[in-house]
Amino acid sequence: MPKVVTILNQIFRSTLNSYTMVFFSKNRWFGAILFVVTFFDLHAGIAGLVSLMTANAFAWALGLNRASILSGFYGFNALLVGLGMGISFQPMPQFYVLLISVALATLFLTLAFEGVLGKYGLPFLTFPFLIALWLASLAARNYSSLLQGEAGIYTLNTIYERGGSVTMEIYHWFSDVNWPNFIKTYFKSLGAIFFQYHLFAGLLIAAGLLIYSRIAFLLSIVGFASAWGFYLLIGANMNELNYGFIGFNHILTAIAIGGFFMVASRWSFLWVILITPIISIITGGFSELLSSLQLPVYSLPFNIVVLLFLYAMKFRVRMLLKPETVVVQYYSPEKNLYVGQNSRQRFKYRGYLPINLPFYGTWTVNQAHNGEHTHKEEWRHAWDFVITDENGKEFQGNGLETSDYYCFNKPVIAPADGWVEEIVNNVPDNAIGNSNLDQNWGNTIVIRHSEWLFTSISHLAFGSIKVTAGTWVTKGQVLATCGNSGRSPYPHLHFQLQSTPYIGSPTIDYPISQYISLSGKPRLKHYEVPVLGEQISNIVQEPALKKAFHFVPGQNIDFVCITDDAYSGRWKVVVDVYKNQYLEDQKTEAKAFFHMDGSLFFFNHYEGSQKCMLYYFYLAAYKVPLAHYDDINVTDVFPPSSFSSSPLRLLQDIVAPFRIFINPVYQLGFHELTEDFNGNRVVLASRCYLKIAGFDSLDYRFIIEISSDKLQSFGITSKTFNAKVNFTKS
Amino acid sequence: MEKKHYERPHIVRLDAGMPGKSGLRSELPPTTHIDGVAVAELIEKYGSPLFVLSEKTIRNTYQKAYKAFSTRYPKVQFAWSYKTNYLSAVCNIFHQEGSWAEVVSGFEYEKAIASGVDPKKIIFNGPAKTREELVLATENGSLIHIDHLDELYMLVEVAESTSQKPRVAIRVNMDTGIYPMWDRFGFNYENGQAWDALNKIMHSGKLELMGLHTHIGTFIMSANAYAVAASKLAELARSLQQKFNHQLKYIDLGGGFASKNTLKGSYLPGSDTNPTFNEYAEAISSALINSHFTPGELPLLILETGRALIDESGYILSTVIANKRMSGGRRATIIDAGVNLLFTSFWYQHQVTVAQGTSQYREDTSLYGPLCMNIDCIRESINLPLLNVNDHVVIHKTGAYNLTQWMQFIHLRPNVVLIDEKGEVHIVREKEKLTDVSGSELIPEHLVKINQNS
Repeated sequence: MPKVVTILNQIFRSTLNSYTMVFFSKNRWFGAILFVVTFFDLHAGIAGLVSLMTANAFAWALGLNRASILSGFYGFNALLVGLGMGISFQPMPQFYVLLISVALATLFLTLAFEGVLGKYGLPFLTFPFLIALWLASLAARNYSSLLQGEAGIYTLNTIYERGGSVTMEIYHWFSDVNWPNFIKTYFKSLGAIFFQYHLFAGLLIAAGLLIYSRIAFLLSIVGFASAWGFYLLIGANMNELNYGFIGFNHILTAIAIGGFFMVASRWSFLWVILITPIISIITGGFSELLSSLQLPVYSLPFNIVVLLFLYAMKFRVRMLLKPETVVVQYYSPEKNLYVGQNSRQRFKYRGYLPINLPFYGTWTVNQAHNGEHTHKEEWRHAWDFVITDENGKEFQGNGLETSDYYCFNKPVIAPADGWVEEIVNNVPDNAIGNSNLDQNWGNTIVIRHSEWLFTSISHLAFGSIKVTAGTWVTKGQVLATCGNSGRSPYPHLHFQLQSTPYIGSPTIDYPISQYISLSGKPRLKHYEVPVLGEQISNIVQEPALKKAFHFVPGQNIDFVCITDDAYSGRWKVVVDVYKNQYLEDQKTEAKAFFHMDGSLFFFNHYEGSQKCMLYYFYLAAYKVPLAHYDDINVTDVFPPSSFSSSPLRLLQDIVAPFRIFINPVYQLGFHELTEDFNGNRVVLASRCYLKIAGFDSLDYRFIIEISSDKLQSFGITSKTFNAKVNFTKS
Repeated sequence: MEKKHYERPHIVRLDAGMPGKSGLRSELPPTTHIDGVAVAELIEKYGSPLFVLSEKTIRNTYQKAYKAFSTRYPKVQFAWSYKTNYLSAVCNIFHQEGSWAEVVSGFEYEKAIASGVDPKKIIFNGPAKTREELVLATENGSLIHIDHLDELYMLVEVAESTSQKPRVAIRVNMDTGIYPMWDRFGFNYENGQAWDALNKIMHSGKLELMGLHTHIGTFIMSANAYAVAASKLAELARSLQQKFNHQLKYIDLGGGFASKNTLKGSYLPGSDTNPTFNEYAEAISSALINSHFTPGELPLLILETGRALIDESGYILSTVIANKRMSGGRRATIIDAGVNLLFTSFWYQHQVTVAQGTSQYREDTSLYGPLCMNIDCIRESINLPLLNVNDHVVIHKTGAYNLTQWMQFIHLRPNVVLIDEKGEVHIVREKEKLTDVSGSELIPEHLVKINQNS
């Protein structure tokens, strides 16, 4: 039984997504509306459905990528082909034979386009539909048993015949309604995407579009208005818009470029306007060309323009200039904007290899990047570290002996795993004040962390290096001690990152992955560059936190809600083929994607129900450093889409490309620590709040308790909602 | 204008030749102020003799020691040795700085608990723990360092009835190349006792073996001895890892670091010859880091240093009672602080300075305390300016052991004050009254009256 349910569920998803994918969406409500719209013409609706299910069924049977099938990638072209053919021909057995064959052909065309365009990282859009429908229309001219449909010609007859008198009246009402031509044409153009050239269909689609995405809706209007304006200005053939309803090309292009493939912003909107004439030129040009074959251009202008634009964007050297390309596709312009922007802010250093500080304890930066002494030009991205006392002095006594200096002979440790590339170990330590300019770098170790990342540590003590070239060193391993060799008038440690393996290679600008800054109020720093005078120390990890947040795929996390009728639940730890790890709520199938990089646990994405405990846990443990420090606060920002819809959110979506005013803040502090050799008890207190114009619109406070190296409990307090869960097994 | 200080007439031999083997005569400047507070005012306000502790020095010394280790080793924990100085104010300064507590008796254990120390951060050392104390420490989750097999057996019995497993370590004694070798505490490393005890613990299954402890001696003048000790403990840890797959949480190197005091019979002053924290830290961390532990699995390093952390923070202010001349013509000065307060004068040559300006003249003097006992000698021979009755002297580096080993003998014990970091003076122990001594006495009925006839 469950297997049948699963199969039905999959058919349902793949079918519905085939409808919405025409608008780059996966919204089910939108899908339902589009489905209804196609059935305004019952025959066309059936033809569309048959066509897309044929394509999906073949795709499934042939063993194509199931995620793609479920997303509707292989169905939406077939759907459009089916709709187009359903309008053009009368239903009869011969027609269905042809329809199924064309659907199969569409699938093959889809794969061909996917294969070719995919290599360039480009979408295949509705090219397969265009080719298939054109070819089918041309070919059908020779198939004598097919009868041309009349739906497109005798509209009223068809409507009466298929919908009865009620439909007829609705149609009449809409025909007679005295709306400005612009608005009527806009709605009709929307309807035209599904071959329904009337207001009602357009209205429904517009409503669906609004449900799906406010940004997309806004874009559709902007795209259409700009086309309208251009046609008026240039004196173009308004019939293309008024009667050909070719305006939908402008609408689809606006959504694609304004918010789907590019992140919505004022710049993407500007591009939508700039590109309008190009669409118009392509429309006009190809209409002329294709008219000799008596073929309509359909969505060809949209396809060509979007591909041209996206392809052109690939050549940019400065990828981050506006408008930005969407990197991770969430199938919603809002999410692409909110999550994309938020992720870029939060995870800009995701690709970086973590480099720690090369010493134990607290040291002081005595020359930073672009330093005043030697960190200049090619070598400007380097640090000099020393140890200072409470008075800021680097030495005790009178500082005339190297041994007076606190840092002298202190251990130097490997900042990350790697191979020792090169060592110099025989440069004598200078007397205080002298510099050995002949052997500028002094005793030095170069470590290869990857083929393009090396660290170099210089001015080590004479003969102190404990490793040899070619050996593997692990993070934290003692390599040598700090000395005073080379160009070093007083003992200090020179540390730099470079992309080439030589002593004295030019430096690269590369951050330290994590450290504590102790100048002033202690602060946790992630992927930052220590500055002059900053007192810094490596992070000492808290094993309890590290173990509690170490979720193993396959593990189940069970909990009982003790405030709400002993409601219980389970989260599953899952890892997918793309190495994304997430917690999945068993009941709602909500997913909270997380990442743990050894020093930090964080959630990077949430999808699904915002009513379940997992959602609150996502909010509570949004960013947890796996180290314990009193007085250290961690802050972060949630994307506006982390919170459920509200009138405010609606407003935010509309103005989002121009201004984001919903910026929910995340804060985490360490509430309590009880040390114990067998796992410290740590209580984390976090808060998630949103202030708009000084007005609290949201304020959750969370308490997460960890002991015996496990999550123990989790509590939520807010004005409207209070709950506490105990984790029973983890 | 202040009245000039009177100095009595004296005669000194003119030294014009080569300096003797002791070098030039040392002339220490007077100590008129401690942390900015005038010595004369302190005595006026709190009486003489007076114990003075400097919070600033305590914290600075602690931080210096911590830094010496934390810049060389990733996980370091100090545990304040209560027996060195268990005045609550002093203990709490160390606890505030992050120290755990190291106690060696039920009394000290109780004191630490009363001060609010987390019982899990109390290390219970010592050769004489009672069953009740072991039960309490077990239930509290304190770290019990086992001294002998009888204690081990008792703990196994205790573990039968307690709700928690006792958390234990054993104290190991060993030859670290120094004399005397302390072997009266713990289990010997070289003859296999320690390994045997560890096996007994592991096989018993009743005890939770947390770490290893050693305390190689006191006032250790060679940092290298600690390196030897650390290596030997690391070896034991490796054996445990190999045989039982048991990973120890900590290695406790005990205390014994020398302070800057000068031992009697030393040729040079202790401040020049005694190893610094850096030297001890270098020896210990290098030995541990170079042992078999992998960088990510280095055990916590616990240090129970007492003396070296507190000695320099303590002063005794005292007043001259009398000057006299001995039978051999030697000068002697009697002050109001004796060995009843300064127990450590038995093994240190305590530095003594005067508290007021003097001329450049010095005289070789014996410095005696106020006790009516022949042993009451602070310094047998010391070069001091010519002191008058009621002049003040300052005895330096008296913070360790004196406030725990002092005696109520002949005299009542004086005030102890702490100068905080802002220069404010606080009494941290009030001077004793007659009732403090006789209050707990009980007199049998027939002895109440002295005059039986009346």
